[in-house]
Amino acid sequence: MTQSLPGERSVFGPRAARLGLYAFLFASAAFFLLPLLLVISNSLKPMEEIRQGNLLALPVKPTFDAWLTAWKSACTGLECGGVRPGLWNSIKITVPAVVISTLAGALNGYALAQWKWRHANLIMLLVMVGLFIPYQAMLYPTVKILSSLSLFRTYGGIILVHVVYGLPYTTLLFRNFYVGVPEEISRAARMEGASFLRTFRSVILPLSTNILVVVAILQFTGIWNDYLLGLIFAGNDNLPMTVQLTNIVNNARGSASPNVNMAAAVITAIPTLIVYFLSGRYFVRGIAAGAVKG
Amino acid sequence: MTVVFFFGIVAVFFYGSILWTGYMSLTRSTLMPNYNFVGFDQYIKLFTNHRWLVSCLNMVIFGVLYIVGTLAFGTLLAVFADRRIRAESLFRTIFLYPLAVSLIVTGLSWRWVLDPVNGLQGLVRGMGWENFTFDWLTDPNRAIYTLVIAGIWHSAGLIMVIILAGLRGVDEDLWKAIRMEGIPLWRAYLQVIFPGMRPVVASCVVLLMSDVIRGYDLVIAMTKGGPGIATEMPAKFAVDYYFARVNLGLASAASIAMLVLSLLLLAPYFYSEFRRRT
Amino acid sequence: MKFRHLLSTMTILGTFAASSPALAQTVDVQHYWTSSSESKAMNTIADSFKQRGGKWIDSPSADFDAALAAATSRIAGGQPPSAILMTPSSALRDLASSGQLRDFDDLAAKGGWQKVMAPIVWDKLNVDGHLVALPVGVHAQNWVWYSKPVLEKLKISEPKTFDELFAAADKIKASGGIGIATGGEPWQQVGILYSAFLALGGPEYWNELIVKRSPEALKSPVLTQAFDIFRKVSTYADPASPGRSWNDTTNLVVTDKAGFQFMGDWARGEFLAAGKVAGKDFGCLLTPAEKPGYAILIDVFAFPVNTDDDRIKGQTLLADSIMEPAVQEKIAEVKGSVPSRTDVDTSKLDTCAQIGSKTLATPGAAVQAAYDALAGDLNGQVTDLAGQFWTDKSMTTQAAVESFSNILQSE
Repeated sequence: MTQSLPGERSVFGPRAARLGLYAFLFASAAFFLLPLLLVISNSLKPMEEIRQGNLLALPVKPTFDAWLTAWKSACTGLECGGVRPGLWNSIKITVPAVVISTLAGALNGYALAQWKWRHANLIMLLVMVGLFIPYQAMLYPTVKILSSLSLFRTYGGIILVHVVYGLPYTTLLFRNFYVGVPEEISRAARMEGASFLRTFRSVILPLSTNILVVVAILQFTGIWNDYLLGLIFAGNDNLPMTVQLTNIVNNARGSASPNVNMAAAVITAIPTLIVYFLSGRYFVRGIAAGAVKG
Repeated sequence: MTVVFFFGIVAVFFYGSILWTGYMSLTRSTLMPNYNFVGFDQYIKLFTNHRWLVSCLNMVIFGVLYIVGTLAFGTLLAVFADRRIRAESLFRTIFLYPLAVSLIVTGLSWRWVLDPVNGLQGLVRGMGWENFTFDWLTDPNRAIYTLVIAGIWHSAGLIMVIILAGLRGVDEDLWKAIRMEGIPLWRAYLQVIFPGMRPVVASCVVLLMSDVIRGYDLVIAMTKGGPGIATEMPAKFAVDYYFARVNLGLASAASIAMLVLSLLLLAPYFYSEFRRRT
Repeated sequence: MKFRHLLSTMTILGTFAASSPALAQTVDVQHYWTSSSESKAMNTIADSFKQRGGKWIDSPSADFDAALAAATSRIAGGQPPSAILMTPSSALRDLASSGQLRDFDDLAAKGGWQKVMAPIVWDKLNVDGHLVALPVGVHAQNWVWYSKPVLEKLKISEPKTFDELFAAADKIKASGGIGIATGGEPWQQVGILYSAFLALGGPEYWNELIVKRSPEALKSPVLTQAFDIFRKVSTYADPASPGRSWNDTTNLVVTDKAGFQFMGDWARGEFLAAGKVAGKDFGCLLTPAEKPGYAILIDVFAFPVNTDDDRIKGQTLLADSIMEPAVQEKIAEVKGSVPSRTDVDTSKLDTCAQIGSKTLATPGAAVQAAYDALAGDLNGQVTDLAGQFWTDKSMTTQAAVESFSNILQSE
């Protein structure tokens, strides 16, 4: 990505500086990897080893038992079926909610940045306020609104909730991206008589691949990891995986089995990790294209 | 049309909630809403509540350290990753992956790492350093720093890529000029490059600040507000009072206070936005 | 335009999902019993209910806050669950007095339920003269658990007073063990403080102090003594104590690493799950007192008003299943509680449960635990105070007593 190394020659000798640089990078990598390694290593221990104490010790006799328990037989209520039942629900909630909230954010951001409304900035600020409301404060009003639309505890309802709660975030990111896009591009299209949506679809969207990926990934993690909204708004048939995860990890009055808890945590995080590893490349390019340039 | 529709939705949900919460904060509602007006009683109760005041102070301490720390660490990573290193994409992925991990899992894993008996301290002692002490998690005066560590761990990667992007957008001619002038690298960054990236940094601050104000999951998973009330936060205060402590009125007052507080903190950003773009 | 379309599609999806075919006698149960012993207890009820021909929809959420949030949201959104597992706290009184709960006065009269419940239990289940909740089991807070092998090895007999208990703990500490295992969450700590109030003051004083919150009771020297004992217990905390969950703490006693633990009788479930036998591997006593009290916490089901006919029938059927003596006995066995019906055969329960049943039946011994007696807000503030006093050793007993009095008088 970089063609030349800018600002060559540091104050130190080049070799010493290089060494220091890698020492820092490796130390940082260790800092970032430590918790993940800890969780994975403990999820592979049998209960006897967990009781020994030291969480940082490596497993002596690694086993996938805890993973199997977490996946299909840990108790989550009346049923003891692990996190498996929620996997499909999580996918079917997350995918449409990510797509809609991302596209809607793009549309809003574009409108605010490129169409000269009178109070576009003011509107953006009003939308941004949404980033600072603790969302537990929004539960009750949201329940009332959804039930008046007969969407409370339905599949459509949970998607709508995720879209709405995500809009301030996605709108902000897109708006700040489109502010940096030269106006001439969309003006040319409009001169030829293209409508707002048409301009957006044929001119703006193709420019935005990178930012789309960035926002989609951020939304994916947010929605995938949500627990409370899923519990309240999804309804019994659509409960996401995080509900089962919480029921396994969080039972305050039962015997603790940390290895199963850790395995359950890793299993539920796998889809987001995959998404990151696969699209990390686009992620950085997307940002590099100016995603969050205030 | 469609856009107006979306803004309408946002207005209904968010501002509807703010209005409703504001109204609730003026009532003595407990579990379910109750519409008997009692004036500003709940706010008086709120600001004479010891735990609330401690929570606010904690939020400021945590917020400043978390935002400054994440920015500094993320920037450092970005600057170093920009020095044309080997395996850049591998390092980048390692630094970025924590963002994929939920805050609950982040908090739990750090609690395990920092556990004085079974975690890091125990390990080092077991290796022979009997006097090694790292018990911040259980020290009421230091526990809040462990939250900062976990928070930075979670968000530094995001800041890294945002800053990295900014760095790569810096004009090549600028670098040339810097080299011609013979300015030392660190001064070049501090005095020339970073000042030019102010808007990027401002965006980072807004995103991090939203984390601070709404921060709940991390505290719950890591310290549950303890030891004692040493790491209580305003969002946790509100949630506790909404549900377990069945005091909707007081919780609403806390939510409104948090909102006002965050708007005050953001005022400088809003102001500069207005000035620059209108 | 497209998005309007989308919304209407969602609405159609919504109504479709909501109109699934009605089945006879259905219950939708919102609860937080998800650990293995709790799951067993819930299954006991569910099995009995299903045998009677009912259909059970399970809505579990281990997180108590989230469970309550979900239940109230569902009531507000017009889709109430059939039954909510909860405790007879201020939340229950709130729901009942706002008319959200179905009462069971007719069934109670028919089944003669009042006669088979301890008066204090019966009182807690009634709000404004109506029976609005049904009990599944009675827990008590003020227990002390100990490891038999640890005490036997050091030739210590079961303590009868706090002094004996502390002397025993010192001995254990001197031998390299943990004298009193304590956990790190404020609710665990405040439990010890409450147990000290009850033990030192006795049940009548407890009622004056916690239930009636009379100014007279706040002047008693018992407050200072209790805070001193509480402070003394805190000095036994081992380095890993802060942040430790209650069951990890119990596990220290289970594995003979610690001598004693102050904890409610849900701890018994942990001993049983580890295959330990009461009276042989572990012992139990109520916090040492001249006149032992029994601070009870009841697990109850409340039944939000439903309009669907099959839902109403389902509730009735569930009520019958819960009150079934065999079900009550089985729940006590797996969960460590005591049956809420006094006419249940307790001979099969272990020695600890029998001590519990006997004390519950002793007139004047049983009192409401603070969690139920104090409004959620007050109990929360006392919990905050206890946590603060526990960790901040520079806080004086006098200052703590003063804050405590202020909290209790604040409403």
